[in-house]
Amino acid sequence: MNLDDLMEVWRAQDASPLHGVNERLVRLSLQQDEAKLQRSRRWWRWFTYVLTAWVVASMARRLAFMINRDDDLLSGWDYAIPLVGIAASLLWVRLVYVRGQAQAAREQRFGDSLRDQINRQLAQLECAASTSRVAGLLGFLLLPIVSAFTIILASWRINGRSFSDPWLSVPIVFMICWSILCVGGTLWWTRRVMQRKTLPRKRRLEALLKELDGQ
Amino acid sequence: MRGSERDRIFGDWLASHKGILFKVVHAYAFEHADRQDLFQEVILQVWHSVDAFRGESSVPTWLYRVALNTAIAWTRKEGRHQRGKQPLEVVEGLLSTSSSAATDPRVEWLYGQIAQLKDVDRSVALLMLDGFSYKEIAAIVGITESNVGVKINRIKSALSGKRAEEAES
Repeated sequence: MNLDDLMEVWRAQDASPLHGVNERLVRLSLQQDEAKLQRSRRWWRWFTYVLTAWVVASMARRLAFMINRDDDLLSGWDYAIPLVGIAASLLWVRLVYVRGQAQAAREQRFGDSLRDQINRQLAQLECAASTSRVAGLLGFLLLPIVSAFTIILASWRINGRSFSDPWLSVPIVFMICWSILCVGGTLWWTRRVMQRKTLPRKRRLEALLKELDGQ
Repeated sequence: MRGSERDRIFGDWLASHKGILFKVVHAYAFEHADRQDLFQEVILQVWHSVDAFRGESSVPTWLYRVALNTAIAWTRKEGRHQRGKQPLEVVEGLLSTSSSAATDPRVEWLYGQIAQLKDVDRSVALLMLDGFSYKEIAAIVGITESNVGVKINRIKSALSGKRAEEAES
């Protein structure tokens, strides 16, 4: 039996397929997948909106308090605190949005072939790798931390406390410890994921690219 | 594209070309549970790809492209056997064994030989067996036509050699 006969046998599978497909369950599976995807997207979208709206609203409230109080205790710098908080949270949302758009644009550059698919996945892994680098992570986490700090400071000043008040150091120290823990924990976690999952997967994809080139 | 339109196209594709999906699933997954898992993954990707289909290639070419990309990503993905992401009865019931399934031992033999190839060569072998041209294979896999030629020659001589070896013994 030569290769042409084998090919003929192979193509005969189309006439009598190896399997049947349960179409009802296929539909159900697709619906579940679609619903899961939509739910996850919706959740992240609302999470970002609600968090930002909450920070901006609480800052605006503090700013309004400060303006209405109009006393001599508050200086120009005090008014700047909520403005910095608002700016930091808006900048953070903008950063998240721009990052998502840039990644989508990067991925769209690739076509449909297997090589393009591999390159697309490598671009996604590159994006994850850049986020896990210290500078990238600090940039990403710094803005929410600045927002949180400004909420505490603005509340402090609204209540007429002075920056020289020794009790101010308690929440500040707490916030600093919390921030260090957050940044450190996130760094540790992302590095762990990077070492255990992302980099091995990247190596496998690069090996696949070499295989494509026949090396 | 409207949901009903996408449903209709997907239904047509599944009815006319499910053989392509089975071939890819059989070439890349070997256990029953893995085949169910990969088939589900392929079906989902085909469903999501309906919107992206512009008619620039034929439907079988498109389906091969989507299915092969999915299968190779599936084999490379860590923790691919994540059972329980769908209810078990859905995962288990998606594919049913046909009564006339795999009765021809030559088909089984071919799958056995394909399974021994590297991931990319496996794709090339499937496309070659289904009669795709070098040009089409090059476009689907993303390599040059001359590279396709080299790979096909290698696969053909491996298959013929194995066949002759088995005939002698």
